[in-house]
Amino acid sequence: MLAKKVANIGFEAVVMVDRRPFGIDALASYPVFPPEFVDFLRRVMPADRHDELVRSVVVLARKPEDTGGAHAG
Amino acid sequence: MPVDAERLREEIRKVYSEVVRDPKRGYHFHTGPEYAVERLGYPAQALAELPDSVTAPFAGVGNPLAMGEPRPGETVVDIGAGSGMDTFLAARSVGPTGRVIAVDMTDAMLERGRESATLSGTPWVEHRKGLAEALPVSDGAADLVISNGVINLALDKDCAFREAFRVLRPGGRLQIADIVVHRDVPAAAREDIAIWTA
Repeated sequence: MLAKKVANIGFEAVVMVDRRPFGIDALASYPVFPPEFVDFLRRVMPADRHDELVRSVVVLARKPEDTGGAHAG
Repeated sequence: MPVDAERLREEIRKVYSEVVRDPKRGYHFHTGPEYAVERLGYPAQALAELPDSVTAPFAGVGNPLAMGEPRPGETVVDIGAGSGMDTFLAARSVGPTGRVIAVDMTDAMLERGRESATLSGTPWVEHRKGLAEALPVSDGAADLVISNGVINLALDKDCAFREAFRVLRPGGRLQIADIVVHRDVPAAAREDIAIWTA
């Protein structure tokens, strides 16, 4: 989804690299995810998935040399 | 769970201001150079050369520079620079003929970043207050845009990417580290995740 969003803006050569699993505990580390939401995830997600709920990724992309036709958005 | 944008931003500011004031207090999230080296693969030697004020509050999720460092003389924009670990690593690469523009919405982070620029003798690092959705950078000014664990905090991610696109010169590169949710999350959970990450 993240790579798709980047491509939709007009970036080219979009690649997603360096995927690292993050569990619910890591997800809880960001202030956008409040404790009640994290608790909800713990309840609805199978326990064996808690360690790989999200992934940390690095997305690489390039703005086209010729942006005459490609524009942001 | 309705999202109040301003309240969310304020909460984020509060948390990260606290991190920069007291980076070693012990948070429920990962911080610091050991985490960066062991978990994210940052080069230990390079981090050891940065001031503690830069590395201790680090709370990124990946290493956006691992896939390619900026070249000497280039202009880099760091979105949500925080204490500036990636900022100062980039500054080392671009050197005095280049420029790094560190953008952050948190006054405490900006203040700490400016002190660190003085401390580390890198006057080519410039700190500017702003949001990922409204970068205080002119069109086409950047050769490289980086960010680390920040886009997931942006309330309008499409807007943040449009801004990155705008400030890059044609041919400029985007290198961002962030977190994404696995595809096979149950539908009920995915809907709630979407509220927070859309």
